[in-house]
Amino acid sequence: MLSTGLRSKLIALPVTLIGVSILCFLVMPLAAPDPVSARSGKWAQTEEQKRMLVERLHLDESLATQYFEYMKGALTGDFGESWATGRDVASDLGKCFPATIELAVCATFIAIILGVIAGVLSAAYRGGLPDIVSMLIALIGVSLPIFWLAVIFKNSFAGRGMIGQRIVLMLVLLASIVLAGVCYLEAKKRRGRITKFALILGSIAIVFVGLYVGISYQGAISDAIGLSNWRLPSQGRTDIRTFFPEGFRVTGFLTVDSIIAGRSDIFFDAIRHLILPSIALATIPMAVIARLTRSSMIEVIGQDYITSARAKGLSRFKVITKHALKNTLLPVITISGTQFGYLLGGAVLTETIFSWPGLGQFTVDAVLGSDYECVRAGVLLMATSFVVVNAIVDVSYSLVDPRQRK
Amino acid sequence: MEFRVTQAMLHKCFFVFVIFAAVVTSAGCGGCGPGDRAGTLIVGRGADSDKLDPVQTDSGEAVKVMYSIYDGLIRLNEKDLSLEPALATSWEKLDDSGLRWRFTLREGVKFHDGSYFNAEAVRYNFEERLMNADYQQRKGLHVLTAAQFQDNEENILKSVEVTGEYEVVFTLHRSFVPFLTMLSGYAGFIVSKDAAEEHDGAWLAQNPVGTGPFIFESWSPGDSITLQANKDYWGGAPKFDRLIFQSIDDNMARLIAFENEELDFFDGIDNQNMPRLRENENCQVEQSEILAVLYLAMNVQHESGIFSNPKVREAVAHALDKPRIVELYGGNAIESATPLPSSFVGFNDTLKSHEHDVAKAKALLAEAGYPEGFETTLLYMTEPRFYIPDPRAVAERIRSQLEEVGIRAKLEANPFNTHLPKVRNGEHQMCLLGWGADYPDTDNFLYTLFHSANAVKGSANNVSFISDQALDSMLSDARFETDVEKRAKLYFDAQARIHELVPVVPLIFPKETVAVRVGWNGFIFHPQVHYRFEDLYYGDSK
Repeated sequence: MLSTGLRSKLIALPVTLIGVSILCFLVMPLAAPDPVSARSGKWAQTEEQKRMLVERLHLDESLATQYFEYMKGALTGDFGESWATGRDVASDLGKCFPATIELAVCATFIAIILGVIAGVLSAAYRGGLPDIVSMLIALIGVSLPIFWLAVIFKNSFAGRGMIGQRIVLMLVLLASIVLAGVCYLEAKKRRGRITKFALILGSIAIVFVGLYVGISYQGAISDAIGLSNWRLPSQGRTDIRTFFPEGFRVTGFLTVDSIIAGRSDIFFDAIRHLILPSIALATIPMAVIARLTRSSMIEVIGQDYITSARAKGLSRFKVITKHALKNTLLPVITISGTQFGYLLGGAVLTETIFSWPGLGQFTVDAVLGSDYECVRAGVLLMATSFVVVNAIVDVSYSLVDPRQRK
Repeated sequence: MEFRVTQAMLHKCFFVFVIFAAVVTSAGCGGCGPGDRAGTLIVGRGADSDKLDPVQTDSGEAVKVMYSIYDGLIRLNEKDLSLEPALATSWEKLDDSGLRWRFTLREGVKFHDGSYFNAEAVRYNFEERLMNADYQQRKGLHVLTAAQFQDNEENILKSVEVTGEYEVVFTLHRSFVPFLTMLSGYAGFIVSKDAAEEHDGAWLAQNPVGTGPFIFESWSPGDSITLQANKDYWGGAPKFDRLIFQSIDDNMARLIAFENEELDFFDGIDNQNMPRLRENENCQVEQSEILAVLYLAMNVQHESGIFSNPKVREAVAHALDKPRIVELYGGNAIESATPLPSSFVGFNDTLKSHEHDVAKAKALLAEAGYPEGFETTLLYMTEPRFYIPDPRAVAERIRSQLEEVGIRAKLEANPFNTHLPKVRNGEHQMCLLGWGADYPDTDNFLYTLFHSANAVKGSANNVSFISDQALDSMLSDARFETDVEKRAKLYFDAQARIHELVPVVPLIFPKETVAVRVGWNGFIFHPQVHYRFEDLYYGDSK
């Protein structure tokens, strides 16, 4: 049984979609009032050619008729043809949309895993070091412009041997931070003021030494342990030399198709290509999820049933994972769905920087090339998927949370 | 609530870490072996092509790819811009006026679909595809390049007759020497007649069938175009198997992809990234002049009347310190003394820029009746063009140099699509503008930019609106002079005359930069930026 709130939301769905489609449709008459000459390029077309074009695009009819004709086509999968290439827009969309979905799924997955871990940790250690660190990271994650982050990512991780060096750097830093932490804990235990001071100073020094060693010797260490040939690709979905056998494309998702075709080489290549763009894309949703998880967890921990679980003698770890986590995740599901919706339509910058041949890049190319038929279809698809994903989230929320069903 | 790390938790963390490490390891280890490096050339560029049918597109990114797929009757030597045989082995004039030309065609050449190239294919491409409106309508062909065989919107081509299996005669409406150069451009590429008969324009735009060194294999829209070597190419099979054009929109992203060994060749390099590329030991930076010029034009017909006085124009030329303007290009340009790039027929190498001399400029202004200088406006474009990466910097520098001699220029910047109509309509006193070759013939620079026929307000390319009888007659004669030497002499003298009149101050010949991975050899720079990738080979495998 659906709640009244949900029912009204679902009823509003088609209305929203129609509104969205009208807005998208209006892109063209507003941006290109004279599509005939815009389509003809630099050189004049004959009157006959112009007349045929007008007829085909229904330009001699009212805006409303044009809209209905367009939507009739769109609902049957016909988005017209591109002004620039003459290709069927729907077939282009069929190629680029799976790429965007694949990237968005991957990024959302990473965001949920890391975001929930960070949120839980910071709630469990509220006010402590993990809380400060993960919330700081979350704040940075939300505030960093993604195009900048993506370029930094590429500069520091793509390139032969780069990823090996960065792994070494991170391991060394991690080791030094752990060591410093131990030192700090030791300092807390000690009584003597001077010893305390020395130990705290020592822990700070250890971090700096770790940083220095890591930065200066990352190359040498990664060479020594044989990581120097590791390489992460900086762009695209696969190695461009990959030859796809006939009938390889089934779903359009490279990872899925390669498993169906039994090609582990393509599968791992696709995963390698997904790493950098999906992590870059995951930063903002990750930060959002982490903050929400934290506040939701703090709220849940304060409830009576948690106290009684603790009173039963359950370990804190068990209480958090077995009892508190489930209830914490309810709002997280909503926010993850919404974020996924954003990613489907909002990966424009990331896709451009990582040359990911997805919906975002398709739309940007179309805008730059004044290819309004493609712009219209791209924006319509983005908006529709966002609205639909949100509706699905609403429904699934009510399925997960019994309180929402009436 | 207090939280403690337990044994079980540590075990779980360790387990997760091991799985993560395994995934990263397996992903990190993969990659391409060096084995396939020699077999594939990957070319990075800023955007995808639109259509790959030579009559249906004029986009630079399409032309780049089409040069590897198609051949024309004639091709251009990239070094001296002389005409070389391609699908035609020879050509000759049939009458003195240069109205009829006979082309003898190469025998035994096959299109990529297996059909043979012959005289009928040539006729079909010109008479039907390029010129026949009924045919175009029937086939849904959106022809964009017909204008390349036009002069002042009049067709030059009249007919193409088949006079033998391997012989055609072109008849022109009027004698026009640049016609041969026009044939060497992409609008003169020959498409398979069989393919064009069988399919419509939309199909041809996506499935090119030519006679060129590479055969179209696949196209992933917005991403890449893959070609494979044509083993039967009449000019000799390419030395590698596949040629892939990959579009990477962002200039920085393209640079990183090159550094990351994902590209072997790329163009579109920002000035500020040059040092980074030069440091890269795997990269050869190739740089060369292209067929373009940036100039400062002075409107001699403006109602203010200031620039109708040749002394004022000369004063401006002496006021400018060109080396300090060239500086702004960070090594990607050279100073120009004449509006004609040096590789063109008739380039006048004796001309020198008016020397930078403030006193002389002031004296000239005084003679012209402006001892205190004057106020004027300088129009320029807001966005970078291929001949001017930073228009504001150039305009500012010119303004300050003019100020030294007392000319107070007000700067006015407009988006290029506003700037150009304004300037072509003669609304400026001074403006910055550039020109790139449509077809690599001197006529396309000097006649277009300085003949009075092109000084019609609204559609002017002669934006200084100079009208000089002596200059006009030299430029008109050169269009019909079939003797190469005499024609060169006419252009040589025309530049001297332009230098005397100073309707414009030529400023810059821009350079184009490309990066080639070390190991790939045989690259020759083409001044029209259409590279012949079939000349490249990996290592010493030549």
